[in-house]
Parts: sequence; structure tokens; C-alpha cells
Amino acid sequence: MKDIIVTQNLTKMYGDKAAVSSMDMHVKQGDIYGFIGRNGSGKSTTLKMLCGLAFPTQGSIRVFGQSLSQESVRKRIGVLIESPGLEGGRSAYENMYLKASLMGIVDPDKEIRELLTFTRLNPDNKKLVKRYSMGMKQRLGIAMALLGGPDLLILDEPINGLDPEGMNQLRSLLLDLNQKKGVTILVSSHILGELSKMATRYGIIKDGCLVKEISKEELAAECKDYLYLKTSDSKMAAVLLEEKLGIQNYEVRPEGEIRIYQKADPGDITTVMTSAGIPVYAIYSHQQDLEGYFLDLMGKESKTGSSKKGGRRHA
Amino acid sequence: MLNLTRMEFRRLFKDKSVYITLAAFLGFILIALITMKLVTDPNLLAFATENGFEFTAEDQADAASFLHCTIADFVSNLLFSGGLMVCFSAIFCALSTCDDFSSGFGKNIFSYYPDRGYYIVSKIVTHCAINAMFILVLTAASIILFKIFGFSNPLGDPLKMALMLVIGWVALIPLAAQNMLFCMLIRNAAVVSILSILCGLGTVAGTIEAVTRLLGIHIAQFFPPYLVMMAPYISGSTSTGSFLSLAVGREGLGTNLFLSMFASLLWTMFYIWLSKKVLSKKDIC
Repeated sequence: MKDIIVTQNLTKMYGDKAAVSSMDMHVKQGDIYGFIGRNGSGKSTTLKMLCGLAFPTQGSIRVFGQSLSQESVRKRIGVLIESPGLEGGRSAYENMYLKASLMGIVDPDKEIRELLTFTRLNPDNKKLVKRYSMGMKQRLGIAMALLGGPDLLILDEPINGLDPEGMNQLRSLLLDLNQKKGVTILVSSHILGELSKMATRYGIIKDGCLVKEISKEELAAECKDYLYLKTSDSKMAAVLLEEKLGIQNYEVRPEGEIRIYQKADPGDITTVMTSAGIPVYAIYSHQQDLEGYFLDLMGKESKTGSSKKGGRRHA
Repeated sequence: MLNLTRMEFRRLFKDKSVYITLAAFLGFILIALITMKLVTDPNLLAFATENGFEFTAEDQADAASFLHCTIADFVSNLLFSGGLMVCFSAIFCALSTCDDFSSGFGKNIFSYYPDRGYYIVSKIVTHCAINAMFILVLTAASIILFKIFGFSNPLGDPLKMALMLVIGWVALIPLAAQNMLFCMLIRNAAVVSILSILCGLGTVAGTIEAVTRLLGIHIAQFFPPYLVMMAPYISGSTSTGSFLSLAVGREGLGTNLFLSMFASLLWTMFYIWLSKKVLSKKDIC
């Protein structure tokens, strides 16, 4: 699959602070690229640069193999960045109509009605957008981003403000667009559980640096299953695990926690611990998900000091 | 760019606030003419005085001068030297443009069009169209209301009046471009409005003129507000109250119309270029 978005050494400075630092991002055709990072990590700034709303201080962006300054490239991108750009004093239909007319869509009525209906908004509702709930505004923003049938969708926190039904519907829509129409989607979200249900590839950003790009399959391979053990004395428990049960592949964590990454019988472990006088507070098998992986990675990056300016990290 | 301009036209001409403002201006003309009618009609004046209205000598003097002015004088003083169009254009441009950034609607535009000059030009074209609409409607309304109220003031030379309206409208173009520059720089409607009104009424040009005049140079004619101030003179009116006219004085009116219009064209192009430069350096959000 060819790359749809390629950034090289993409950097954005605000004063002497790097919001995005030397980022090399690769979004491939047909990807649903989940862009993950903490608040203030540089996700929105990156997406703004990819939409042409902010200028890079350094580096280059190529979309569909061309510079972002080409009008033909921009016409293929649907955008929802931060809060939807809406005119509060107009109805949803009128907002859609304005966007359609700026895009030069002739007779957009049918498309507008379809998109508004799809996003569970009534095209005939004259209610002003300023009186809409956050979720309704978000849905309208998504409908506007879909106008004109873009080949690439860039969505910044599109799930924000949506109810569970809305989330489910948006996920179905995005999957549908991706699988049936081949639309490439770059989406950022804090709701990692939701993102993991649709993303085919992930980019993880920390302090402006892209620390990892990983496919869904690679992530599945890297997400380790482990046996979680919590005792009163993790140091002593670790000694017993090694000496009595021959367990070598484990990790001692704070607050009496131990993660065992090799096959082990919880019953045997409990017996060994209790016979040595170490109470077992909890023991269960755990499957790591995207959230756990993300938190682990963030933890590791913190320890290795990934937040240094200018550091370049990617898979 | 045509699509963008079409969208801007739809957006502004379907905006209720445009018509509310227009209605307010019509109301203002109506109140002015009702007052004049009260003061100039002896029967109504007696009736009004009996009912507690008080009229000063100044009101009487205003009424006397009103009776001797042409409708063209009234319109030119109202729209141009009175500063109505300059203030309207400044405030309207500031509100509609800065709102694109504060509401976020601009994100739809700037993510779609990489050339930010399109936005500048389409905005200026739209504002010029709105200005033209206001000038025409307020002029037509003034003529009709004069007739309705039975004032016998002459219209004035129709050709001169038409020329005055055209020159006045043209003069507002560089000011619209200047307002755009302030919008791009500041993006705050209140500050932009104040700055645009001050510059539009000739504060800067007047100050420079006041200094250069001491050297015998009349530089004001090369600044956009000069044409606005000149518009009433074209229709034969002699009264103007702007700061620039105080600085220029009667003898300062070189009436080199073509030179002033050429200067206006250059200013327009300069402001568009500079606005585009500023917008191309600043992030949208």
C-alpha cells in the first residue's frame, strides 16, 4: 500500500517550545490510523499542519504524493479539527449548504440531506446550531467533513461529546467508508477502547515526538498476556517464584504487584505464597489492551527521557 | 475563488444582521426627516411646542439650512462626510471577518483553499457589494422619504449625484482592504472596528497632511479617506465634518480625481498583498 500522508522532520515551534518535533509520520492508503497521545502531546497541532491550518516551522508534508499547497490535494481531504467550524446563527442545513457552495458542489441538496440523516440530524430542522448540544454539533461537524466524498478524512477527537449510540454509529460509518469506499482515515482520540475497535494502524505521540508507529497486527503481537499477582511483599514473592516454581519471566512493579509473563498455575503460586506466610491479595490472568500498551509505552518513554526536544522516535 | 465568493455572498446576503442594520439606518433617516418636518412646518411646530417639545435656535438654524440643501447634499453628508458608510463598513467587515476565526468557520475555508489570497479578495468583493447595496438603498430611501414628507428640496444634478455615489463607493474599496488587513493582524472585532473607523475617517491621513502642509505639500489626496471626503464636493456640497477635511481645508482639495483614484487602486492592491502575507504567516487556529 502506498503512503497517503508522509511527513519528514515535521516540526512546529511556539516560541522556543517544540509542540511537534521532527516527526516522520506514514499513513498508508486504506489505513484507519489511530493517532494517540496525552493532552498537549501535539496531536491537534500535527493534524492542523496536515490540514493546512497551521504552518510547520520545519519539515515537509506530502499528501497523495503531492505538496499540501496543491488545491487538488486539499479537495480530497475532509477535516474536523477540534470543535466543528460552524455558524451558530444558522441551521444545520444552511451550514452544510455554505460548505457545499464553497466547495463548488452543484445542487448539493440530496447529499446534504443524506449526510444529515446519516448523522441523525433532521435536515428540515430550522433550529439554530448555537442551540445544539455538543454531540449534535459534533455530528454536524462530521457530516460537514464528509461533504464531497473525501478520499482522506482527518478527524481530531470526533468521538468527543457523542453518546454511546453516536459512537457506535460513527464507528460503523468510518468502517464503512474505509472498507467499502477505500477512504483513508486519520483519527485522534482519547477513547482508546473505541479507537481499538476500528484502527488498523497506530501512531503514538509523546511530547511532540512520534514514539511509535505500529500496525494492529504488530500491536496484537506486542500486547503481552500476563498473570497479575498482588502480595504483601513483592520482593519475597519474587524470590519464591524463582526458587520454588522456576519462574524467570516476570516483572516486579510498585505496590506489591508482580506481572508474570510465562505460563504458570495460579493455584501453585497461591499455595507457595501462603505456605511461606505471604498473603495473596489478588491473582488473575490479564490480557493487555491498547490502553495498557499505551500506558506502558508512556511509562517506559518517561523513564528513558523521551521528552527531550528534538528526539526522533518511530517504528 | 468564484465558489468562495459565491459562498460569501450567500452567507452575508442571507445574514439577518445586514438587514437589521439597514433597517436601523432607514429608521435613522426617518427620524431625522420627521424632526426636520416638525421644525420646518409652522403648523406642526406650533402643535409640537404646545405639546411640550422644545426647539433651540440651533434646531431652527439646522432646519433653515436643511431647507436650502439638495437631496444630493443630504445623501452625501449622510453617507460619506458624515462617516456613516466608513463606520458601517469598518464594523461590518470586522464582525464578519473576525467571526470566521472565533467561530472556527474559517477552518472550512482554509483547509480547502491553500491560496489565502482567495479569501481576502472574496471578502473584499463581498463587502464592496454590501456597501453598494447600502448606498443605493439609503439613497433611494432618502429620495422617496423627501417626497413622502413633502419637502420641496431639489434633487441636485443627477449626473453629479451619480458620480458622487460611484466615487464614494470606490473610495470605500481601499478602506475595505485596509479593514481586512487589520482583521488579519488583530482578529479581534472590537479593536479592528475602532482602528478601522479611526483610519477610515482620516485620522492618520489628516495628521500626516497637517504636518506636510507646513512644507506646502498636500499629501492627503494619496490616502484612501481623501476620496470619501471628496465625494460630497463632487455633488456640489460644501459641508463636511471629518477630521481629514479640517486638516486639508478647502484649498487642500486639489480635486485631482484621477490621481486620487489611482492612489486608491494602489492602496487596495497593497493592502490585499499585505493581508495575504500576514494571513500566510499566521496559523488559522
